[in-house]
Amino acid sequence: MTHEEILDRLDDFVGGELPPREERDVRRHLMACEGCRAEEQALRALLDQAAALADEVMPERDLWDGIAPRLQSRAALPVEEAEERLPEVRVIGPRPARPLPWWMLAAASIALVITTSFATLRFSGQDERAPATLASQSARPPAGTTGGTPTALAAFRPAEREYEKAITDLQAVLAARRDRMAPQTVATLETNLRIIDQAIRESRDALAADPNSPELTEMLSGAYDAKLDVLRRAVSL
Amino acid sequence: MDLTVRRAQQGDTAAFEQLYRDNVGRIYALCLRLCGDGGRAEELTQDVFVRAWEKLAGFQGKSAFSTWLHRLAVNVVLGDRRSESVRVHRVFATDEPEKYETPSTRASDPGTAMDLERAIATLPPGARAVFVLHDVEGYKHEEIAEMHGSAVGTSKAQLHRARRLLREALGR
Repeated sequence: MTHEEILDRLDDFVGGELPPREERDVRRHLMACEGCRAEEQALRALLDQAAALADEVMPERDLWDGIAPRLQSRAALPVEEAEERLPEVRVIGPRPARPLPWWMLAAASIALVITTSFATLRFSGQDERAPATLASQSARPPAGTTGGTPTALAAFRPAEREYEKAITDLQAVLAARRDRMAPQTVATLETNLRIIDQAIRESRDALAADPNSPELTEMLSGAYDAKLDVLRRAVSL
Repeated sequence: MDLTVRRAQQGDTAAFEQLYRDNVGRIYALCLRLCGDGGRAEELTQDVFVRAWEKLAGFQGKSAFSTWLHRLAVNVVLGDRRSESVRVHRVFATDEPEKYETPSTRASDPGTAMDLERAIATLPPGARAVFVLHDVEGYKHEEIAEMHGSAVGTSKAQLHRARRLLREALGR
């Protein structure tokens, strides 16, 4: 994707509204492109600020004096049909509580997408290749190749090493800052990371059993992307 | 159901006054951000509570009273044609930043918070409404589009515009 295409998608990206493949492409671009990452961070800063605005603003004067005289006696009012049947209120749910930084919810969504995708793959019939693949492992060429051609798993290994190095670096930074984070933030962060780690383990196990599956490779890559994203944002808190 | 709400439903204006006092800060904040004008926000807040009194008998407690009232307030502000025409033509109250400088808005970084409040007030009405409902109040594009009777794409475009204008206004 070009820079312009990335920037066009930033609103949907930060809202977690992109399809998984586009989301992954945007995330990868952001990891490599400082300019677009600065745009993303500025947008997230604005959203965090908006979410942190005071829930309440008190009017300068007491408005009750202008309300009380307008209240008709209950007997004079027409009978209401039913509660939420406010004809002109065609809307909505309550304002979501925001006890946590919004990006953590997005991170949880990312993790959920990954695990859900994994489950979908597992039950969509594609996973049925896995036992068959396992059963036929002995008949296969040595791990990492298929008849001399590198498998998807083997091709992914260099990238996986890069992921692991970046994750290790970020975890070290996070460990140094951990004491300054709110306990609830730490707990939620750990929950999200556990979910993502599970997605990584399951994707990796499945890919080991079916090393030529592009879907599983993509899923594993997406799980690593999600973990990096969560860690990077936690470090920037 | 909350006893105060029940008493208000039965016609007890003292109980309703208590509900007003418990909720006026949140409703006024919503009205102020949506209409961008302190004086009009006061009028709308009063309209919201009068409307709530009129409809309170039908409230069955399926949601929290505050949630029900918030829904009603969004409807009152968006549905108010008079305020719409006023909003379009009125000069935004950016020369009245003290409207936002009440104790409840004085957070750890009051200058930054007030800058954003003022910047929101300078947005064009459509972009402001979508930004407040989506990024401050947490509604989804589908819900906002439904409220406005417009397409989801329109809501997204307005939000994109609002965010861009706000970042420009805030120098980011």
